[in-house]
Amino acid sequence: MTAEALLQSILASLPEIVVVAGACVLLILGQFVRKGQEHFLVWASVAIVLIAALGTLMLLGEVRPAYTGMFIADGFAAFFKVLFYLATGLTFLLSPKYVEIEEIGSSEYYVLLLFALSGMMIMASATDLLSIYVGLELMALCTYVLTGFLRQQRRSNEAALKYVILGAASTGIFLYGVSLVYGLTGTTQLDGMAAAMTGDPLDPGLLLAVVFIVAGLVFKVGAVPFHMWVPDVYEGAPTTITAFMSVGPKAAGFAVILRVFLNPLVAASDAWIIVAVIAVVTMALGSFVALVQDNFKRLLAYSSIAHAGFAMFGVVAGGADGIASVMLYLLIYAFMNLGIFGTVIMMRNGDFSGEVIEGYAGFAKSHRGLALLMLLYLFSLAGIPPTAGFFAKFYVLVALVERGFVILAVIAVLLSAVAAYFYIRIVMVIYMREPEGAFDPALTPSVRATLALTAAGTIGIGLFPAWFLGLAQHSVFGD
Amino acid sequence: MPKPLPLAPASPVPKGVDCGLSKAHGVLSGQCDMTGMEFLPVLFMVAGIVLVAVATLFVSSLLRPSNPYPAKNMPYECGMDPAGEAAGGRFRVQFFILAILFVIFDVETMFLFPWAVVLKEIGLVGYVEMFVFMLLLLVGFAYAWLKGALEWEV
Repeated sequence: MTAEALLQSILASLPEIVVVAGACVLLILGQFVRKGQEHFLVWASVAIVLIAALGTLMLLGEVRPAYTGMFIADGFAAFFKVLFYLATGLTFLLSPKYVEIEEIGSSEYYVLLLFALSGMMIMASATDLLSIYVGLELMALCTYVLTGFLRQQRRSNEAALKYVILGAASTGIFLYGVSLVYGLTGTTQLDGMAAAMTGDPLDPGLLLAVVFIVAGLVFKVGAVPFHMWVPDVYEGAPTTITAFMSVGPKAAGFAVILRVFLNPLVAASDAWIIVAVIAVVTMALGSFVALVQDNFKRLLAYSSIAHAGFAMFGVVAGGADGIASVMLYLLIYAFMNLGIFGTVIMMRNGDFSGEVIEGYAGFAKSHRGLALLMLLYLFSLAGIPPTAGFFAKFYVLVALVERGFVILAVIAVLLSAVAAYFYIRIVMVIYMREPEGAFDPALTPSVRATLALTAAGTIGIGLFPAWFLGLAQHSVFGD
Repeated sequence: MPKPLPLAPASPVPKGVDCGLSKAHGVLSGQCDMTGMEFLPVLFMVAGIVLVAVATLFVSSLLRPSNPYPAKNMPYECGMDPAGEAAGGRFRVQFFILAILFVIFDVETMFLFPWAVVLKEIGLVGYVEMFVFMLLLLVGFAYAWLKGALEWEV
């Protein structure tokens, strides 16, 4: 690689470099921050995310391949990176009060989130199996540690251990698939893999390799049959980290899957059959098991499995509409899910854990505004118009029907009707029951700002869905 | 000087390239079977190792006397009664931190060797890139130091 090519590569990956360098500086600086000065860490982290976002926006408008074909900075990657900035930035804003209550506030918390962000960014930009792997591991290792951050709680430790072991197994499977692809085709480039995969007749070894790679990615997305870690990890992890994991890493997994399906060769193959089966089973399991949950975080974990299944339907539809619909789905999901998690995080105060659904009984009696916000997020998650959640589902269904998968669309609608029940059940608890005690939500200005932003996103996208869909389509396929 | 294996053009991988591409175009060539056949000795080797290991354990389990008692199961410390923390099956967590630090710098060295071999070909850019890698490792080392991972607290 010549010096000139290296400079081009550095320019293309400037946002990633900013985040990694910022995290390194913060890691060292954090050791010198005195007690009571922790808010400096929050604002420094938010500033790093903002600078990286500025870099990504400045690089827009041109497709920049970098690092000899392992990395690309294009509109598709930029869309996902903005989504990651949003998820990470809002997690930072939700954190200060919560980490103070749980006594987990240390510089590592913020630094690890920044490293996880850089891992997700690399995944969104990766065009080679090896750079995907590097991004995947960077993200995963940080989330393992963050899951176990509540060191005094058994639950958190157990969640972290389960996550590490299952994550290591899935990474092993993924890497084995990568090694098979390299052995059979001599390349780790996604394009080369797609070209070999669509050959006729298909090499059974290559099919096995692709199944392994898909399994590794499906684990990160939390789809059946690799979903069993999701409820335990989501319940045990600090709620802020659960909020982050349910949005960021999930979107990163989808970014890689979509990058593979952007390839016209893959889109024309029969790979959609596997994805369709995964989508149906995932959504069915997530929706039905969520019906019997008492714990709010566990319920949201199953709800996130169900949503992953629904987004998979968009992958099945494929094509410009399908891929754009999944991207829009993930953006909307980021807003409404961070919103509902924001309210759960806010309720954690004093002795109130905010995790038991029954504990919210009669919340609307004393806090009208906050109850209305929860209603908004829950209706959006259930997919009731005119919230954004409705249009997220709507465009996926449109893409499905246009491609002729009417049966799949019908299944998706029926299952989301099941899912609507458990969201509405929470609304019933909030509005129809008598309060058993007083509520004391920890409403700090930064939590207020997060709730306002997520509510604005949930309503705003619901009001102008076509504009946001156009944005997603534009970022994938240009004009 | 032996060439580094993964870069040697004579390895079976480039043949695999031909195989994959020709397959992609729907042409089946005899070369593909060759690639599979070339790995056959490796398979025999693996099977042989597993067989020998299992057979040794099995045969010796038939022949040897089995008579465990508590003193025999104790950790061996040169004939003395075991003393100290390790005797209870517990290790200080500092050992773990030192082991992790060792692994990190071990991996660094692993990267340094192939880098040194191809340094002439990759030029100034490759030279500088290695220092970026080492700088990132040093940040981690500095963090461990600041955290007091190198202090042996009693």
